[in-house]
Amino acid sequence: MKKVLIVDDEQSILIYLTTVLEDTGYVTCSALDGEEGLRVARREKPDLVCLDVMMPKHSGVSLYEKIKRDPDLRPIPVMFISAYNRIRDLRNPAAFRKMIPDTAIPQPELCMEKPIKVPEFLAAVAKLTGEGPPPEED
Amino acid sequence: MPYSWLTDELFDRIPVAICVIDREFGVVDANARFTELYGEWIGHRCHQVYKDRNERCVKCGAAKTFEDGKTREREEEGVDRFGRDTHYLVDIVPVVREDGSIPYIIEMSTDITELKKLQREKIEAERLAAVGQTVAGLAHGIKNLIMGLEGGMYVVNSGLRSDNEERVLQGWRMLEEDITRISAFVKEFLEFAKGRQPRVQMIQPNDVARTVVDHYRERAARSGVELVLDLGELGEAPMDGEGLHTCLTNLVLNAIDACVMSTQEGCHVTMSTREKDGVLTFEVADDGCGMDYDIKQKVFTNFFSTKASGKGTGLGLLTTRKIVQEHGGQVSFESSEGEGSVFRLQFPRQNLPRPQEEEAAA
Repeated sequence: MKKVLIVDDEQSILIYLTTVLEDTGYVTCSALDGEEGLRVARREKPDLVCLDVMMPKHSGVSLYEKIKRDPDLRPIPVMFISAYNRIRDLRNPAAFRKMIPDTAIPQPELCMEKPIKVPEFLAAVAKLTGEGPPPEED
Repeated sequence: MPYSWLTDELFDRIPVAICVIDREFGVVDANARFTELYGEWIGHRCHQVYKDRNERCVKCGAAKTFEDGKTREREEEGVDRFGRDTHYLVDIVPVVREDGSIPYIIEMSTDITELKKLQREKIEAERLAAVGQTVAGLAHGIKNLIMGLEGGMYVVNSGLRSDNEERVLQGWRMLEEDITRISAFVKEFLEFAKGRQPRVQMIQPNDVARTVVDHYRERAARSGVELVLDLGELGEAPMDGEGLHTCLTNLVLNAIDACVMSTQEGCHVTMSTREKDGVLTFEVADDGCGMDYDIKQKVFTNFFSTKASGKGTGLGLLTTRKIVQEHGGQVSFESSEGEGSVFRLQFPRQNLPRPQEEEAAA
């Protein structure tokens, strides 16, 4: 069974995504902020990280940077999920480099806008964890 | 009065409306510009000419200058010879005899009706721009709320499907919490939209800074944050004390939150004030968590909050900026992730509004 780590500072979002994924047969773990997220990622070695952009302690972008700098965590795909209306900008190389100038850090595998659509979300998770057909992105 | 033709010319051609008023408030002389603006004045009282009214003005500047011999400048509203409302800036100057008595005063007024109109249009344009930003920010907030509602519904349905009462209750609680959040958002949003009339008076701004720091010192200490006050020399200033209080409170509470979110122990928040080159500056600095690039981009966006749900509605800094702009001031900040932030309010004295109480203006 594939394992998904969800990091969001809203408890209700964690419950929502956890329920969706567990109903579909994934194993989940979660964290309420970036720092805890990094600890859980190191401990649990998930197959995918779903990440909110704005969070206390380390915002999502900083946690992303830390994951991609860590040789052990770097191969784990990351999906950004945010209500930030420019979330898809993270897929635009120029906009992404404004946030993270270091070209050693790759762009995130996928960005999804809140509110999510459950089928689209599950298709994306399946693709990124290597469980199913590729999702229709954008 | 014996004028030479040159002084007569100067008197008539100067593009400022000038009149001479006696102690009975009768207009005894006026230049061409004055007649052009206000029409017939011979044998009339000043309030008849300027304002088309028969009683003396309630807060008459001329009477005060007759009394104390001081020059004063003020903004007035009146009616021109065509019955149109006008705004004018008037300088009231005493004509003093050798024995110190004041038989006349001279009033020199500049028509600023057009300027006032432009100013109103500018404020309206800024308000509309703010409305646009607000709508964009509102969409962001609503998306989060929809995600919460959809999540609650999903969890309730999932619980029903699997006959898991615990899960149904969990989903139901999510729905209830989200609805409480919606109510709070709407309430705060309406308060922001409605605004309040600023009440400008001569105040000592340091008193406001001191009150805010005294009020939150204990609360900060409970969160392990030391709140420090560093007051510079500040003169009295015409400001909306309550508005300034709101601004400084928002900045202090944000700074305390930034310290609480920081991974460092024993953080400090320092409120400092100073005045230099006619600019009043308030600074709230913290050595808390600071902000990274994406957060700095969104500092003044409505409903953008990095605080856990229920703690921040995302309107604090926006309200602060609105109040500061009403004072002709500016908000700026510097921040480094992990090192802290400084928020700065700057008020150039020349931009400050006029106090509403005439006594303070004199």
